[in-house]
Amino acid sequence: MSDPAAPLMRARGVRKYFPIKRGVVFQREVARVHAVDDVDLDLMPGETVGLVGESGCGKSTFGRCLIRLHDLTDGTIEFDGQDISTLDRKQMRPLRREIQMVFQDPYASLNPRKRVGTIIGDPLRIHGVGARGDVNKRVQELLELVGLSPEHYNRYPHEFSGGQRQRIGVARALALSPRLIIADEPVSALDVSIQAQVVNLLSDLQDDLGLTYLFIAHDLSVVRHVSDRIAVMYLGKIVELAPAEELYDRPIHPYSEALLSAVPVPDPDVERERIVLQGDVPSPITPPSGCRFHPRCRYATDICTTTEPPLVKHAEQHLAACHHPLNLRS
Amino acid sequence: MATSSERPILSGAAPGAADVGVGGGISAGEPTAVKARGFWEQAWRRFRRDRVALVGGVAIIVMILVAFVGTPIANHLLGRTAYSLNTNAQGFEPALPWSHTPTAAGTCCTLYVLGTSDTAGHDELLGMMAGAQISFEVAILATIVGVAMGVLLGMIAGYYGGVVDMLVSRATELVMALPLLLFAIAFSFTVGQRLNTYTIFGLFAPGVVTLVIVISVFSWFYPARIIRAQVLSLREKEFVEAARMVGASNGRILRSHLLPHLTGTIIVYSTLLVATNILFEAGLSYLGVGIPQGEPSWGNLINSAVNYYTTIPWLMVWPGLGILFATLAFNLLGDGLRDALDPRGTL
Repeated sequence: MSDPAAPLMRARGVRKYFPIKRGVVFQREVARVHAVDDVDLDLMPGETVGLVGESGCGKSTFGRCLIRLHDLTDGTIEFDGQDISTLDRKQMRPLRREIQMVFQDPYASLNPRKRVGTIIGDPLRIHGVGARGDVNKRVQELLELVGLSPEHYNRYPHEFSGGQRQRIGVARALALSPRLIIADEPVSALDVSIQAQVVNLLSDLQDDLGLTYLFIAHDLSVVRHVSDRIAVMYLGKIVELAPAEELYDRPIHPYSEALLSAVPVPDPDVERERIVLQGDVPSPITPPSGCRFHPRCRYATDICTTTEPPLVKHAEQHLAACHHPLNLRS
Repeated sequence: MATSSERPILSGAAPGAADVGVGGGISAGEPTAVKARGFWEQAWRRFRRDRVALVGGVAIIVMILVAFVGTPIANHLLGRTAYSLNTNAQGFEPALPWSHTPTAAGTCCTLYVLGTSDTAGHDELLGMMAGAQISFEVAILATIVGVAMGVLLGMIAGYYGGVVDMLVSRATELVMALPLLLFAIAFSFTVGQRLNTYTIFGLFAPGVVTLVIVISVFSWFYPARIIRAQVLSLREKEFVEAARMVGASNGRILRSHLLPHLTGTIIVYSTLLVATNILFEAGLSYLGVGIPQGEPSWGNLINSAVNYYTTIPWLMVWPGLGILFATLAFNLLGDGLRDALDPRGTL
């Protein structure tokens, strides 16, 4: 087993560009969508890292890169010390047992023509884990583990509610007993009342099985609840990375500040400043020069339009990429 | 790589078993399986209510029974086959329906229910029944071969995309641009003549193998396009991504995740294609490039009936009705299946 101080997964300079092609017979590349642009991230064993940002900022693409559902344009990904960024499909297969994913939409990620038992048992059959009779038994154990009735293995996904389906998705991810689970907005498609149940299920499983999570979400209150550290992404880049409470108490990057001001507070008497960002997210095809956030930033100055701020350490474990950091203790 | 399989993964009881409706009696030991109504069961329930489609389906079964079981029985009862000549039934014109004629051996009398199909004394009814055999064989086999080719190519093109897709799509368009009938005739005249002798150990009548090849070569491109389009949209679905995430191979994804979603389309399209192929077979035989002359087939019967259309017009009507009912039945069944297999349909 690995050194507990070493990261379980280490991503360095991960880039993912999607080409935009034109032409009928000979397709030529006319532009690129800069979905993920030079992202570094370490996932320590047993921790939960939240990854937040608005729609289209590259959170999901980054998650899919880590599990190699997308091929990287550039960069390296190491899992447990092994470089997995250039492995092909076959070489990647043993690692699928270690890294699994929970998908966003529990209605789309379960094949409607398959019984639940088949969906959860498929990973076991593909990887040849256990004998034929054991698979069924294991599926029932997994169903029980995620809080569903083992008798339901014979049902179809459409007979379950959204929350139950997401539990099935979790059971599928757990089937091969992975060490890392990338949860791509696992609760975004669910009702608020169900969200808590699924989030609690995930954290209970973490305690019991010692899992590591990358928890992708756009809902900051959910992320705060589950995460040890939080990374804020904007337009393909990580702009701030900090322990969860620290980020909420003292955000350094203006974008984080604006995001946090949008979190609803369940107290009507609390008065606070609401920062409303002007304009839309710029196109990732032609990202802005310098700091990518500068067209919408209220602190922006000339340097922001020309020089890209590096991700630097402002406090213990607190990194941010900004020329005009906020809330600094000096 | 670190091993993870040794770690105990299933520790503790189910955490947060909150939103599960069914409680009670949870033991992983002997769970009573809750039976769910699957896709096919639902489709069958919808189909059962569709009277017209049911009639079509029953008609097809009856016709196939008559063709494949009824023909030997009729041959046995009448003591002759569709190929038997009868000099006593020969004349300037074919025998009329319901005519009792001395048999070839000279004993009295044998019945020609629908008369004879030509002046040589071939029995029209037996010809129709043997012709139905040939028609169904050609139409169904050509459909299976053609659709199988189309589905395979369409799935590969749609799933892999890129160069593979381009090659398959261009090939599809190329074949579609060919004048179908002209090529079918040319093929039958040249290669077909030689292929006609292949009957797969006498299993099929001469010409069946040729026609199956000719028709299937020209019927794979529609299913290929339909399937390609469906796979294009299916492969972007999250459950396909989930399958890749758990490490499923391309073959497994195609076979066990995509194909089940295509079966409805395939069945419906095949049923409708059988109807088209029955017509196509009759057309080619009528033109003299399908089933060889002398073999009983609906197209050949119409062809020989042309000689007598002024005096005995109904000789054209019988095989015409056969073609009409067969194609109608397959079309009705196909329409009903389309409704039944559409998951949006009400139960």
